[in-house]
Amino acid sequence: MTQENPPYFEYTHYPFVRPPEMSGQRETRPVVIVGAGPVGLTAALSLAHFGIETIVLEIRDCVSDGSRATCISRRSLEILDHVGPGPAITAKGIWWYSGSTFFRDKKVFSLEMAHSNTDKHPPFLNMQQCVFEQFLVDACLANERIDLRWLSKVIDLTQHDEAVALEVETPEGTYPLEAQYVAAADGAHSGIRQKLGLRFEGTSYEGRYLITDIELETDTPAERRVWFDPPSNPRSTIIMHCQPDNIWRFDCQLRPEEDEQAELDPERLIPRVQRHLDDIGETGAWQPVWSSLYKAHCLTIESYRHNRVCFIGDAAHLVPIFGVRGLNSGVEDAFNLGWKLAYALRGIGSEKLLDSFDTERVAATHENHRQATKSTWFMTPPGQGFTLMRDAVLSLAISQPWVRGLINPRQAAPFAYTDSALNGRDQAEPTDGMLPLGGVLPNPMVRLKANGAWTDGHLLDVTGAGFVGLVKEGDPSGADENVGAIADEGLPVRRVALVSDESGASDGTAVCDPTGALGELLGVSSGILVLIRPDDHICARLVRPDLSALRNALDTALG
Amino acid sequence: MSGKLNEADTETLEVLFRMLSQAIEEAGADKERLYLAKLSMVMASHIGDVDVVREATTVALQDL
Repeated sequence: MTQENPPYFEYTHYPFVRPPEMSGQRETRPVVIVGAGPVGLTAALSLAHFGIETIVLEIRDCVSDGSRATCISRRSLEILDHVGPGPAITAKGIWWYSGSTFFRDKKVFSLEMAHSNTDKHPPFLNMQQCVFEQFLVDACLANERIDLRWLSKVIDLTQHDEAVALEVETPEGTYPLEAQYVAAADGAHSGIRQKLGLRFEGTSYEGRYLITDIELETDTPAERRVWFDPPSNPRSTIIMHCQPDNIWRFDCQLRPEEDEQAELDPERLIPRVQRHLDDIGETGAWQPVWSSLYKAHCLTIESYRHNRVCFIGDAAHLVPIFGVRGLNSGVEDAFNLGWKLAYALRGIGSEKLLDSFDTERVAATHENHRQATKSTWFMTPPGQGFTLMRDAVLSLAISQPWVRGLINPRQAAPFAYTDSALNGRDQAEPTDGMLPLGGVLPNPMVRLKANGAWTDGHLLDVTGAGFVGLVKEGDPSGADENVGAIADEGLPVRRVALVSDESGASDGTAVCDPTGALGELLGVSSGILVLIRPDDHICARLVRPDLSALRNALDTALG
Repeated sequence: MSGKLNEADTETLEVLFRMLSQAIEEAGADKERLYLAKLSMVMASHIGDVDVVREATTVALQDL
């Protein structure tokens, strides 16, 4: 049952296809991506979105086994909307908004995440990783800019001044492949990372989790549920998540004296799960369909850019599952690298963009580790002192509200690149709650004007493959016209106007902000222009910018 | 419970949680009871208000 493909998902096994390089073709490709996991595939779709062709090399002949990283963040869904398969994934996954934490037999904490029924995406969405990956594979196969090569293993890599030379092993022999850049998305055991002699640094935790998918018929609502020291499995921690098609994810911490291989045996696993289902009143028929083991790690390499090789996802960093920052940070890595690599290759931006990929995403990893470490103290306490204090806090939490903040699972939140070298000036009068430079745009429902007609949409529908200059309609300062003027110079920026009512919009793209709340959040007021990067992060707020101020801000944002 | 902990933000609680956890780790499994008793005595003496300490002992006795 372990480490095999689960029966709830019909696997497509893809054949090896002889590439032109095996018939003597020698052409330097713009980008080769190593690894067709969720991060590598998102990188391929991102690069395609920004106009770059890629080759993706994958050792396997199908998507990965089982549910693995089952929880997808709203930010990941927004990115996937930009690059293609987001809507299909959003429609298929389980939406959830809340969580409950229990200590022994008592509820001690409720997690409620802000949401509205006009949101395009839930705060979090659950879907088995294999199902998720298949959506990405299907999108890649339908994309003419992506050449997905199965059963292809990189066995050698050499960096030269102008390109990276790879040797690829296949069922029909090896072939050489050359690329201007390589994105290493080959996972926790990255061969590329080892080939470059880069070492993970950080902390690994001893606590082990048994993770299992079970098929269970139930009407129990989808939310994140955690039990500390439950009567069914004393001195352990159990997490349950709902996944599509009646598949539930059951994660159970192993006690130190338990042998992990023995506990994977259905003879031990089934009674363990049964005891818990009995305890929580689940009476429906069920069966285990997949299981695996997990340990928490906070590890990263020091730098994600090594000349022409960039590391993304688990190849670059391992983040504990608690708080769902693993896959989601990898998707953010891929999109960040995607636009920067594309802009550098197309000559729109400089190669320094790749250094900003490195510093921005390394900073994101440090924040993810900072948050995940605090969750890990609770989920797999690293020693007797942490265990005792954890139990003390949970016991106190039954009667003492003030201590409950410590139990918050600290779910992933989008990281703001506040220290980015791509940020220009922030000349707006700061107010409470205003998005900082480097922050990512929110995605509320709005009325949008495009191609002369108003429709219902969401704010991120206005960002595309280029920069956006967001201005107040009818701005007397000239900022408005200046965006149009630099766009006419061929710079990659589009004007979007914020209007207070639909009748006030002139030609072009407009967003209606009847209450002014959006303008306040983004810091767009009369005379202010907000510059938005192709990855939805804001990078400058300028007062009455003239042409040269606008060009400067774009130059900064383009490396 | 009344007192300063009511006002403590989560970030402060996290710092306290980590500090106390690491101190108990340092005391070791066989000395943790003695260590915690000594720590209670030191903290009670720092508080110096019998009513506040009495309330704390009552709160901590719940849900054992």
